[in-house]
Amino acid sequence: MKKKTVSMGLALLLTASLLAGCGGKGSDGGNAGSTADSGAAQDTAVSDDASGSSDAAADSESGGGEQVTINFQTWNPGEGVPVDEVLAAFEAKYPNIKVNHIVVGYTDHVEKLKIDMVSGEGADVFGMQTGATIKEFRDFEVDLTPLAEETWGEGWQDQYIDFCIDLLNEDGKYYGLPLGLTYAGFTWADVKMLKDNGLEVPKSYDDLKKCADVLRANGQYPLTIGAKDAWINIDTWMSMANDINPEKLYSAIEGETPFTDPDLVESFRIWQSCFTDGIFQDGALGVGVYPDTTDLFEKEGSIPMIQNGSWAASLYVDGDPDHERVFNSEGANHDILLIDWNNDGKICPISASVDVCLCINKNSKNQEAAWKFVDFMLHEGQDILVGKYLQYCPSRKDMVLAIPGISEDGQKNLDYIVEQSKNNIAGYREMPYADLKQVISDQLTVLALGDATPEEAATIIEAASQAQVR
Amino acid sequence: MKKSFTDYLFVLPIVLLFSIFVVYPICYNFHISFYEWNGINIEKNFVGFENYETMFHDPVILKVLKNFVIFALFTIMIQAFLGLIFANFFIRRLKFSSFYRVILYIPVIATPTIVGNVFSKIFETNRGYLNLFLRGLHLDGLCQQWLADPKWALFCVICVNIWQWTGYSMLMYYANMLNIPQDLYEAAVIDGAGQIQQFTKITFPLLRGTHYTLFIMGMLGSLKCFDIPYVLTRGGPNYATEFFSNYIYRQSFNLFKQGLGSASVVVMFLIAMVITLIQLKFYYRNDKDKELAG
Repeated sequence: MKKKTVSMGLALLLTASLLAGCGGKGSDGGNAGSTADSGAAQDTAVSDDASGSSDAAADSESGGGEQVTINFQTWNPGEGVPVDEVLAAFEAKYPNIKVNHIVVGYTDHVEKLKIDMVSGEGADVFGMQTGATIKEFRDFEVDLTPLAEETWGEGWQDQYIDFCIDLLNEDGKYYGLPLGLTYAGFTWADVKMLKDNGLEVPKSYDDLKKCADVLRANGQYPLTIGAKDAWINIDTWMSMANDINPEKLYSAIEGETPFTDPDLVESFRIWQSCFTDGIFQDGALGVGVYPDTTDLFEKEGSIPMIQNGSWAASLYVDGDPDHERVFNSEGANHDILLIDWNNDGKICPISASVDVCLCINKNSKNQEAAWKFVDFMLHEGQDILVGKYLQYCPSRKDMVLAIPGISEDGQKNLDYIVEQSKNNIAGYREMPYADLKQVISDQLTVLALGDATPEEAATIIEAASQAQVR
Repeated sequence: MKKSFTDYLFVLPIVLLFSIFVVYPICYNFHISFYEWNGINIEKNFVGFENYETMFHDPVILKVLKNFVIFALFTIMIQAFLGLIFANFFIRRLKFSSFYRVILYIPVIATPTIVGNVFSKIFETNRGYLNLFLRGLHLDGLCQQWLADPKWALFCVICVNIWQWTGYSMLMYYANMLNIPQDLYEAAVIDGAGQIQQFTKITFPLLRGTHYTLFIMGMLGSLKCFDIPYVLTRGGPNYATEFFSNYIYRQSFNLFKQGLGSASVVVMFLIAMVITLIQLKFYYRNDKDKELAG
C-alpha cells in the first residue's frame, strides 16, 4: 500500500512538473529579458552595468527606477567589440535599461523570430531586411511613425538618405528604421595579384574574358563567385540587368514590363556566358560565398577577383588576425570596382538595401524602452558601428565616413563606395516578392548549367511574374 | 473500479507527454495544411486542399521523390552491406578489431555540419582534395565538378551519408551477431558447413530483425535527410539534391508558405507510415504474432 502511494505521488509530481514546464512565462512585464534564455542557436551578450541613477523614461515605464531589460535580436551587428561598445554606451546613458543582445545567423534569426512571435515571446527590438521579410512580420511590427515624429519632429525623414527612407515607406508609415545600408553588384580585385599575372584591373566584360583566359592559363582562378548561394547570383545578375536598363528591370519586378523584354533576355545571356566563357571559376555552383570563396580572397589571398558587396570593406577595420595578415596587410592593394557587363563603356549601377532596419515588437511590454534603444542605435549607435567600425554604410545624411585607423587601401575603396552610393544607385537590392525571387534564382542556376536558353528562362520567369501577387 | 483508475494515473505522465509533444504537433500540422498562412500572421485563410494541389503540381516535388528513392535505396543497401561485412570481420576478434570498430563508429557521432564542411573541401572542383588526388595520379579525365554538376551532386551526398552511417549499421549487426548462440555454429561445423554456408544459413537469416530495423531506420532517415545535403549543396544544383526536409524548410521559412510546408509534412508522414506498414507486414508475415502486423 505504502509503495503504491509513493508511486502515485511520484506519478502526480511528474505530471505536475511536466505541465509546469509547458506553462507560459510569468507575467512579469518588467523583465521580458528572460525569454532570451530560451532557444538553442543563440549567443547573448548582457551588459553588467545596470546600476546608477534612474532615467525618467525608464522609470515611468518600469515604475520608480525598476530595472527594464529589453531583448534585441538580430543577425547583424554580431558579437564583437563594436557592439559591446555600443551597448556599453547605451547602458551608460540609460542605466535602468539593460539590453540582452541575441545574435543568431540570418536564416535562424527569421526562423526563431517567427516561432517566438507566434508564441508571444518575440524580442522587443529586432533587426530586419527590407524586401519580402519585413512585410511578412507586419502583424508584429509597431508603426514607428508617430514615435519618430514625437521624438525628432516633423520632417524627421530628411535626416536619412532618401533612398533608404523610400524603401521603408509603406503608404506614409514606417515599420522599421534604417541602421545601415549595404550596396551590391561590386567586384573586388587583388591588384597586386593581377599585376603578377601581367594583368590590369578589368573594366568590362571583354576585359574580364581576357583576364580569365590568362589567369586560367596560369593555373589561377578567374573571377570567383560562390554561386551555391542564391543571393550572390541575384545580386550579380541584377547588376548586369541594371547595366543594360535599370528602369526595365525594376518595372519587370513590379510586373509592368515582361521579363521576355530583349534587354532582360540580354542580361540572362550575359549571366549564362559568364559560365560558358569561363569568366567564373569552374564548379562555381558547388561553393558558397561565405566562407568558401571569401576565405580564399580575404584570408588566403589566393584568388585575384571575387564577387561581393560593399560590406566587405569592414574587413579593413574588423581586427581579424587573418584579415590583418592578408587582406589588410602592409602594401596590400585591392580595388572595388563595377564592371561594364555589356561593353557599352558605362559601368553598371549598384543596388542598395537597408541591411538592418530596426523594428519594435507590437507585443513588447517595454515599447518605450525599446524606442529609446532604437533611437540610440540610429544615432550614437550608428556613429560607433558605422563611423568607427564600418559595419555598414551610413543611413543618415549627416554622417561623414572618416574611419579612424583605416589603411590607405581601405580609404581608397571606401571613397569609391561612397561615390557610387551618391551617384550610381539603380534601385533596391531585395525584391519584395519571395516567389518571383525564387523562380529567378532557379532560372539563374538553370542558365548556369546550360539547361535552358536565355529566352526559355525569361519565359518561365515571366510566367511566375504574372502569377505573383503584388 | 478504483484499481483501474489508479492504473490509468500511472500511465498519465507518458500519455500527457506523448499527447503534447507528438500527437498535438501532428494534428496541428494537419490542420495548418488546409490554410494559406505565412506562419507569422494572426490571420489564416482556409483554402481546403489547395496546398496539396499546389504541391502535387510543383515539378520540384517530383525531383524530391526521385531523390528520396535513389538516396534511400543506395544508402540503405550499401550501408547495410558494408556494415554486415565489417561486423562479420570484427566478430571474429581479429587483431585490433576493437580499435577498428571504434574508428568505424566515430563518423556516426560527428556533427553533420562539420562532416558537410569537410567533404565540401574534398569535393571542391579546383582545389578539392579528390580532384587533386586524381590529378596527382594523372587521371585528369576522372576529375569532375562534383558538387556543381547535377549528375554527380546526389552521388556525393550518398557517399558522404554512407561514410557517416556505415558504422551504425556495423554496430547494429555486431551487437546482434553476439546474440546468436554459438551452438548453432558448432553444430554446423560438425555437419561440415564451411564459413560461407555458416554465414548464409545461420548468421544472415538470424539477423532478419536487424535487416528490417536498418531498413525502416534508413527509410525514415532518408525521408528526414536535411543537414548533409543542405551544407554540401543547399539542395542544388537545380534541386538535384533536394529532399523533403529541404523542400519543407524552403516553403516554410524562405517562401513563408507554412500551409504548403505543412501539406508536404503530411505527405511525408503518410509515406513514412506506408513504408513502415509494408515492412512490418513483411517482417511478421511468417510469425505467429499476427497482431503486430495488423
